Amino acid sequence: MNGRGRLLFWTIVLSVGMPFVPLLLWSFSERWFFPALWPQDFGLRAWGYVFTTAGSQILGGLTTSCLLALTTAAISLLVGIPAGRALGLYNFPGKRLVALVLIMPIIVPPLAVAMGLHLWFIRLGLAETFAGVVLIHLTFCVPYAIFVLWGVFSDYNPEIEEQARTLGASAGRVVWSVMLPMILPGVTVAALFSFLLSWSQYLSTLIIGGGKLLTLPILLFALMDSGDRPVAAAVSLVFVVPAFVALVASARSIGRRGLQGVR
Amino acid sequence: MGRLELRELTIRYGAKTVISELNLQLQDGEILSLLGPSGAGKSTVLKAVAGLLPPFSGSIAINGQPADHLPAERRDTVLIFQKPLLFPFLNVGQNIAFGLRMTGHRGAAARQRIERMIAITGLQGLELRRVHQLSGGQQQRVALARGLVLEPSILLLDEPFSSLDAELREQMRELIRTIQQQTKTTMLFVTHDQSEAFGVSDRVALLLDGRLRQTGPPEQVFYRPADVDVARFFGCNNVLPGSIRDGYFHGARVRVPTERADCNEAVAMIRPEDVRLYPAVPGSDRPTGRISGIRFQGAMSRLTVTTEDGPVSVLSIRPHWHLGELVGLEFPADRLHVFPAGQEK
Repeated sequence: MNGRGRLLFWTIVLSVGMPFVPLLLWSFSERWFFPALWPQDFGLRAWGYVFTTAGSQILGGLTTSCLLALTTAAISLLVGIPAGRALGLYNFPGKRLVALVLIMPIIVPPLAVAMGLHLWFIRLGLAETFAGVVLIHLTFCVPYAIFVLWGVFSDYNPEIEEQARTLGASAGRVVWSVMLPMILPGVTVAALFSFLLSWSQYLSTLIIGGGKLLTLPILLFALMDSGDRPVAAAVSLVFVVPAFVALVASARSIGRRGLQGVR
Repeated sequence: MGRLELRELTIRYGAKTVISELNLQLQDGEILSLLGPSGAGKSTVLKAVAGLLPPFSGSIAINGQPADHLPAERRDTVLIFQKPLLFPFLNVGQNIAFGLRMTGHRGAAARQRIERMIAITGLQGLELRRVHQLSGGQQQRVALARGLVLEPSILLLDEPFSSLDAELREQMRELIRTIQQQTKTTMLFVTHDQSEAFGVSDRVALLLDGRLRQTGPPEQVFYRPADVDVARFFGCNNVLPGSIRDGYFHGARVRVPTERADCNEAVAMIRPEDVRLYPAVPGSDRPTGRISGIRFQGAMSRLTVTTEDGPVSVLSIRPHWHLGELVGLEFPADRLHVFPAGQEK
């Protein structure tokens, strides 16, 4: 690595890593009072609390968050792939309007969207249910998924599917053995977006879930309110890990081929 | 091995008729070129034969069996597109094996067919390469191998070499002929390039404005055009007006025998390389003109001779004429094609 490369590398490491330094310090501190720059006493109390006392609660939060994010990501793809294909490959009247409608839940403050939908969800019996929370997360995730896949399909040459057909591939196999591998990097990005977006939802989960669905962010806010900083820091780190794993896992599939195959 | 028969094939896009009443037969093991300018609907015909585009009317039969109801994946045809369209997520070997995998061929027999095709197309040693590591010519050879490994009755080629440079294109034509000799595959080859059509095929079919105008061996369509448009397409751009009487075409300064029926308005056409120039003889009643343009084009030079009846285009090897020089023109009788003028658009 040359000088400039090294500089770039450390700039990225620092800017990404900086926020985590205080978290790490807090999670391992026993006593840290103003005006000390450094914790006065180090210890494992916070981590002990996370893994033993509150262990089952946090594991429950992790499971709920994971299930929610995976379900949301899966449905986002199921909607996003056909929608992105239609928008990317075909011209039809009202296409610009679709783009506007899609961007609405993103530009309208999420609080307003969640509050407004809450009233509907109560009537429909969706409030305080897993399905209701998935639906409210989808209002934010689906637009992102569609936008990503719209871009992917704008660069997609459907002739490759005709080629596959004349080589003996049935319609179903064209989707499975040609289209999906071709758009895999885009699908990964869309899935990752949806997963992470759902993973970090707090407000909408709180409003629609009404405290019944204890996701990790809900637990985290409760802990922060209690004023126990070391424990809040430790839970924050636990919160980051699955998101980080998802990012690294997908970065491999994005990086290996990039988006070049789409062209 | 395979026969193809198109009967009264008409294809429409919406209200626009792209191909009208096309009749065409391909014999077993024949290469036929479908030649025509861009936008003549050549690729449309291929897509219809491949089953990718439903025709408006007419029928398609492969080996004597109607194929109209068969979807693309079950037709015994493979279409090779202009672009190689290789699957970027598969390597060369997997690309070639794609069709066999889709049609459920596995095991040693499939392996053997793939290896044979790799040998014929000269791709040995490249099986494990990723497709973006190949050159344009190699990519198109992989596309050919991928199609041929399925041993289709009819191989359809849609200008497969138009994105390659001249030398590679020549090599690919040779390869097509070699493959044809080794596999005896019947091929329908679409191109807008005359020399490609002549170099590759046994017969040429000329498609103009969605209609088949003339079908025959390359020399025949080139030297014996069926009508004015065909003659023009092949570069026969000198048109002498006149009339036909008593078995003779009478022009301003030419008189040639013809088998065509009498006609008040007729034209005689001659290829630019068939016009002969000689030093002008003063006082002669033979046509004369002045050289008004010389354009060097490599092997041939294109001269424009301005005559009383309009400009005449002449192709000549190493011309020794100068701009403004007065020359005599000779139109050899056996090189003039006479048509009734009504055919001209």
